[in-house]
Amino acid sequence: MIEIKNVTKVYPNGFTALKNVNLTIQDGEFVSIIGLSGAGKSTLIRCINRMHEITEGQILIPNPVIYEMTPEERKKYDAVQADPSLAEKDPSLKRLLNIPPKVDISKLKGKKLRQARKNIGMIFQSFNLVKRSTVYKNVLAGRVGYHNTLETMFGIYTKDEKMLALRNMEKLGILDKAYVRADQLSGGQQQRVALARALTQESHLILADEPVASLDPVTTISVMDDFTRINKTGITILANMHHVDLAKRYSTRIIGIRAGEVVYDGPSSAVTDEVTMKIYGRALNKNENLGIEEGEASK
Amino acid sequence: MSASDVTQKPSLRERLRYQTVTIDLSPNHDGSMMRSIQKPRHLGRYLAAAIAILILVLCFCSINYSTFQGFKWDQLGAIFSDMFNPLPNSLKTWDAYWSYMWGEAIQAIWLTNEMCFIGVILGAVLSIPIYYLCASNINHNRVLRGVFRVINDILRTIPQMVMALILRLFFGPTLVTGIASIIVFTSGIMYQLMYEYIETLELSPFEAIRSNGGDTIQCIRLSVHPEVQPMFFANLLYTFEINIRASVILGYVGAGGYGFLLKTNFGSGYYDKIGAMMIPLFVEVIFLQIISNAMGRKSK
Repeated sequence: MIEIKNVTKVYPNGFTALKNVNLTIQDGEFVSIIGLSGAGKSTLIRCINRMHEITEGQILIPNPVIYEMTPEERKKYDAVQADPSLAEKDPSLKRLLNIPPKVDISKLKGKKLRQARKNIGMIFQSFNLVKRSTVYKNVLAGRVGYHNTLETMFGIYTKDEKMLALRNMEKLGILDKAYVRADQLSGGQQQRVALARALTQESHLILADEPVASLDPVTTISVMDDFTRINKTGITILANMHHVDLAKRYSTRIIGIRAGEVVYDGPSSAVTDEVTMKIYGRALNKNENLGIEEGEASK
Repeated sequence: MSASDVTQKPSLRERLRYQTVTIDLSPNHDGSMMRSIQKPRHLGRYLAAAIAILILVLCFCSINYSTFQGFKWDQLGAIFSDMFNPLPNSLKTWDAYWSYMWGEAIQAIWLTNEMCFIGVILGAVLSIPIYYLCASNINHNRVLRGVFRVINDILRTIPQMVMALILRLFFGPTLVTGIASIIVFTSGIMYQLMYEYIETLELSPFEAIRSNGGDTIQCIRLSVHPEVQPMFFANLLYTFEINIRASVILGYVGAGGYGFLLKTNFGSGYYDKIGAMMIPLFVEVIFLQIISNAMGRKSK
C-alpha cells in the first residue's frame, strides 16, 4: 500500500507541479492517472520512487527492510506486527516490533533509498533501454539493486537470476531476441524488454510513465494486455495514460489530475463526460479516443 | 495580433535581437492576411566574425617580412635525395640501407611501440574515472568537476617535451620516463575526448537503472559504459597513433626508443638513416589510421 499525504512539489523555477495531493494506492490495483500534458502526472509518478524530490508532504511506502528479511524472519515479523503482545513473551521479537511497516521515501537516503527503489519498477514512454546492450543484458539490469557495486562492475549475476530473466523474456515473447541489440527492436518489443526488466526486478509495484504513448494502436493494445497479465499476478500498477478510453478499459481505478490537483479519484466505470469535463476542461469527443470498440472493451 | 502587442513597444534590447518581419499570406496579395514573425538578427555572430577578420588583418600587418626570401623549391629535391638514397658518408650501399631499415629502424620502432602500448593502456585506464567525474551530466557536483578539469587541463597544457624533461628528473633518461609521460599525455587526451562525448549522450537509460535501485557506479557501468565503449576503443587507437608520432620528441629528451635513434642520426648528419627510419613509421601510422577509421565507423 502506498500512501501519498499532502504532497506538494514546487520546481526550482517556481512552478507548482503538485498541490496538496492525497492518495492511497491499495495492493494489486491497476490505477491510471489521466490529465492534460503538464498537469503533473509524470511528476506524481516520479515522486513515488523519488526520481523527483517533493517539497512538502509524505509518501509512505512499505519499509524496504521488510523485503530484505529471510522468509522465517518475515513470518515472525508479520506475526509480531499483527499481535504486539508476542514480543512480551519473546524478547528477541522486540527488535522486529520496532521496525516500522512503512517509511517515508522522501526521508530515505543512500542505501535505504536504493533498497526502496529496488521494490518499485518503472516503465518509461521512451523505453529507456541501453541501446547498445543486448536484450538479455537489459533485462538482467533489473537485478542491479540486488548486487553490490563490485559485482555489477564485473557483470556478475547468479544462475537463478539469469533463469528469472530468461523466463520473463519468454513470458513477454521476446526470448528469441535475447542476444539482439536493444536498438534493433521495434517500439513494442522495446517496451516489452522494459517490462521484462521491471519483472526481473521482482518489485511489488510498477510505475509506468506513459507506457504506450509512443506505440501504434495495435501494439498499444497488446502491451496493455501484458500489463493486465502482470497486474493479475498481484503486482500493483500505476500508469499515466493519454487516452481516456484506454484507461477506462484497462484500469480498475482512475485518478484525474488538473493543474497539480486531484480532481477525480474513483472507479474507471464512473468516468463520465462530466468527469472528463473536470479533468480536461471540456467533454471529450469520440475522435479524441484511441478508438477501441465498446464490444471489444468488454471482453 | 492582439491590442497589447501593438501598444507595447519592444525594448531596445529586444529590437536589437529580433527583427519583426511582416508578410502578406493572402492568396491574392490584398493584405487581408498580414502576419508578423519575430526573426532573430544574430548581431553577435556578425560582430564575432568582424572581430576575427580584424585580428587576422592586424596579425598580417604586424609581421616583419623583410627576412623572408621566398620558398626554396630546390631544397625539396635535396631532402629526398639525402633521405631516400644511401649517402657515401654513412650507409654507402642500398643493401645497407634496407638492412638498416629492417634492422635497427624497425627495432627502434618496436621499442617505441612497446613504450606507447604500456603508456596508452595505463593512461586510458587511468582516464576512465576521470572522464566520468568530469562529465557534467554524470557528476552534478560543480566543484569536484571543476577541480578535476583544471588539474587535467593544466597537465594537458604542459608541452609533452617539457613534461618529459620534468619526469626525467624523477625517472632518469630511460624508457620509464617515456612511459610516464605517455601515461600523463594519454589520460589528458582521453579524458577530454571522452567527457565531451559523454556530455552529448542522452542519459535516459541511466535514469532507468537508477529507478531499478542502482548506485551511481552501477548506473554508469550498466547504462553509460556500453554506449561509450566503442568510442573508447576508437579514441584509444587515435591516442596510440598520436603517441607514436609524439614519441619522437620523447626520444629527444632521452626517453629512449625511436626518437633517441633519430636524434643521434640527426646529430651525425646521417640523413639516409633518417629516411630509412621514416618508411616503417609512415606505414605504421597509415595502418593505425585505417583501423581507427574502421572502428570509428562501427561506433556510429
